[in-house]
Amino acid sequence: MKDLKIFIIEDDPVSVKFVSNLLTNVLTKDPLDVKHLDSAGTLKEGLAALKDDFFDVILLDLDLPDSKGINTVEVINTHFPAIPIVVITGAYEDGLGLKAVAHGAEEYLLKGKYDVVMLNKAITYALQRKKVENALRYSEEKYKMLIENLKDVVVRLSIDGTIEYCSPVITEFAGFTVDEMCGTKIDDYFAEDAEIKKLHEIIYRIIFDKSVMTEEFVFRPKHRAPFWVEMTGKPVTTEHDTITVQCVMRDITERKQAEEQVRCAYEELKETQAQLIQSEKLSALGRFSSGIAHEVKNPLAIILGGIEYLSVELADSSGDVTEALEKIKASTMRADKIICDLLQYARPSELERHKTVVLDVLNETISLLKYRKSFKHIDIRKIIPNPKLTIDADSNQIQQVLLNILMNALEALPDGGVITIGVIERIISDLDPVRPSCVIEVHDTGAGINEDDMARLFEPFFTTKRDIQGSGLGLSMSKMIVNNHGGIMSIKSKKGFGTTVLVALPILDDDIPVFS
Amino acid sequence: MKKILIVDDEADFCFFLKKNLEVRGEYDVLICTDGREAFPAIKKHQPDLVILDILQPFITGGEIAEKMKVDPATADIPFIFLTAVVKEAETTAHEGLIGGHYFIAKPVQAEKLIEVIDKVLQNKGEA
Repeated sequence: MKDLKIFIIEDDPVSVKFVSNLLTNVLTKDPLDVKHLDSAGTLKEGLAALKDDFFDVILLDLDLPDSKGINTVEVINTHFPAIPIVVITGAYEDGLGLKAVAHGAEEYLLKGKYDVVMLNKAITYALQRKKVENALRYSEEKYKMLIENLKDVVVRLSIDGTIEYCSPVITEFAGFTVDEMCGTKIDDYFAEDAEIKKLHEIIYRIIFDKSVMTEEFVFRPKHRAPFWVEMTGKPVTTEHDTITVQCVMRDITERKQAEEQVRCAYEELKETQAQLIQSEKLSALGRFSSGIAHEVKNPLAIILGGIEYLSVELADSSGDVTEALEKIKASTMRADKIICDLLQYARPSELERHKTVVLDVLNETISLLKYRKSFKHIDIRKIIPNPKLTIDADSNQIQQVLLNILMNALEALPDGGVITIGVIERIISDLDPVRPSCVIEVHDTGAGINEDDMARLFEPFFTTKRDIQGSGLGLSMSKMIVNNHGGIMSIKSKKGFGTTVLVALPILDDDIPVFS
Repeated sequence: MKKILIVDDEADFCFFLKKNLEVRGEYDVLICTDGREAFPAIKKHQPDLVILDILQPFITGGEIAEKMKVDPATADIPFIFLTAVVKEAETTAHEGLIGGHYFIAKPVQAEKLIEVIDKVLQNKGEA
């Protein structure tokens, strides 16, 4: 230890002299290198001198004229926490020396009962301990400052989720005071049961695996709406040897918003891509279908001609041959129907619009279906408040749409059931948010549509009815016709509750009722 | 016996159509499978009716019909278009007529074709 500066606070000049002698005794085997020695007779003088100059160590008498006992140590320690104190006390029996050490002194000596070795040792120990203590305090303060200046909240949780510590920034973060938070359970600040369960699982994992984990939660602040936080927890062993979880909680609202924007953009992109693929498919279909129609219809014409020729030639044959020919003929006509649908789809006829009374088209359509076998067990209910409701439409094409929809409804009811048809003027905001549209709704009491199939209903060639010769063009064609009329078509279905098809078309202008 | 000339590049189609029409015993059916030879054949054989396929290699049914209309030797011979490129719905919607001409969509059942043939022949007789 070099260049030591020692300050003695002692009112007895004899004692001061004694100490000074010991400290400056050159005969000592291992002397302290004392550079400067000063003293004061009272606490007041001592504090004043210490303020003026820096000293490495204080030798303190506990029996001063202006201060007695432990209090003296505490006062000096408060003013100069970085300077080690060696107390010199009158008697061992009163325990004052030990008490002084407990209250901030580094070492103690008994007055008149120490020699140069003991003094040197006491001073050396005191310096050494204070050094360690100072380093510790410095690091603690640095750490505390760091935590308290963070925007992120530091929380220490016990294994059951009780908040043992919480950094003061919580007030700015969530409106709670530190006192309000400490002792409560972290559960109270999370809204959802599932989140609380997740949190407890994570606390358990952190403590059990001694691992660091990060997870996102929705945090409920005091007076604001809940917001997203990211919590990173790590296991920390406390002075009592129990393991707690130290968490850093960060507000990630902005990040979440950005993520949401990215997600929305992605969804939009996906949607656009799907539409592109769909329209690409359609245009390819358009390009090919005319050619296909020509190439397929010619062989079909030959097959049909052949069958008719054979029917005549084999007119006297057995019933089996006749039946076989009938079957070939039916299949040929079916293939032709699919090709015709395809042509219709790819090359829709020009719209021949005229004033069309919806009920008239509907009745004509129903009359077309009346001769079907399955129609017998169907109860058709019409709910049509305005039988004169008129649209500007190609009645042939609208009839085709209704026919498709009603055929589907019939096919959904192989064992009979109810088909409810409603025609009403209603605002359909997707079509026209201001003026009412003509809404045709067809509900059947069938089994409903599988959820997996819902998204593909309007896809060309998608059919669940291969077994009963569905071409998969009915609904996609209907939708196209409705769209060509400036309308929209949608389908709602629930397993076990049947299916509702909605077609909304613009009403003829002069037919719109005026609301005043 | 009415003389009918079929112009269609599909030889097999012509073969069966001839069989199916002739079985009635009312028509004598001639076949031409090369559109380029159609007009000379019409001029030469002077049929009562021509059935014209529209989409053919080298010359279309429409072009043959044009030639027939401008030549006095063939101008009065009625014709029916038979084609794979129209939908049946398009022809039935206008009672089989498109632009004043009979159009029949392939494939067609012999019975329907005969109906149209008879109608056209009858019109010609009245005219």
